[in-house]
Amino acid sequence: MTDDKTLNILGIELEDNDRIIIIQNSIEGGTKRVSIIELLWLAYSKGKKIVYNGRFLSIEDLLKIAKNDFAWIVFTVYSDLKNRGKKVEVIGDNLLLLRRDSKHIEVYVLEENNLIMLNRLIELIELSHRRGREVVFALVDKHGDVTYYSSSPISL
Amino acid sequence: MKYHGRLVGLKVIVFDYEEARKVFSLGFYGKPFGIRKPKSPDFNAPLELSLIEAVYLVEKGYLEVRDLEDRVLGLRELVGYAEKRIPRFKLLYPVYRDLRERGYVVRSGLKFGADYAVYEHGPGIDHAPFLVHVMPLNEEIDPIEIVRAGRLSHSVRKHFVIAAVNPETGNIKYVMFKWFKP
Repeated sequence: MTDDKTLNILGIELEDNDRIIIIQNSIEGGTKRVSIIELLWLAYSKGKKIVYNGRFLSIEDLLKIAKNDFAWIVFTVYSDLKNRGKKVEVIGDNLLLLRRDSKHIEVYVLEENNLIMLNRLIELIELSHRRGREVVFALVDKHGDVTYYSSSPISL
Repeated sequence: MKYHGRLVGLKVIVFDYEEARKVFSLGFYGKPFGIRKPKSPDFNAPLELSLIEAVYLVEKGYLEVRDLEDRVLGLRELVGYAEKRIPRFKLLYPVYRDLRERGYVVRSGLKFGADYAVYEHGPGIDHAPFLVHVMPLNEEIDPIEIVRAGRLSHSVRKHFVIAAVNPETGNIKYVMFKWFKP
């Protein structure tokens, strides 16, 4: 199973930030590390067949491997950005990195009805700000629609 | 100079027209009764102050408030009254005071779906106010509240501010949100 449409998973690892990383055969024949979210995108939107230990894995199988209830919501935002032709990568459980020109924008994924402490929200804004990066919140509503808001601390 | 107001429910009314004009002139405080968009202190009407405005003016020493039994209410008593009558007073008042102390004109943001509409110079002078939503720092929020606040703000400006108040310390953090097109 080495045609262009097939991606063979060689191994699954858990990294420091709890992201599950898949080691796969790239088209060129080498190995590549991708996040489960990126793999979902390749399977769902690019029609890749994901094969692990000789078995074809469905989208549901991949979500089971992710073992993260929030993976689908992160995938929703990742897909939305990719569908807009954006350069995006997964850098954390609920964090994406959007590259726009020379700017690096941190995109935190939040979901309607999934409550967050306001002080946590502000911590995230301050953290990104200290890293010199713009921060954007991707808010996914109950229907899966995404609205984006950039945010920054201000001193009035 | 100390002006005189009468506590009536959730309002403090300055009935003397001359004093009403002067209190309004201090920084767009209150609303002349029956005048929808006051832009100048050139009016002949009583001035309605919100309880929050009245507490601030009492704290600053500009206003003396009496109830309908002609009893003077000191600052502590007025604050106690406001805390009982306005459920979010402990959040709203520190932000109001902070913004006023920074020199802003702070008006009700009700028609924009916000707690405050904040002007650098005043309504009718600034192009548009900043809209400020006051929230407690130590409580959970539904992220969709950001979208709701943003939707309402778009009719005025493209961005809005959340004032996060620590109810224990009264410390306030301001964060700005702006609709973003990826």
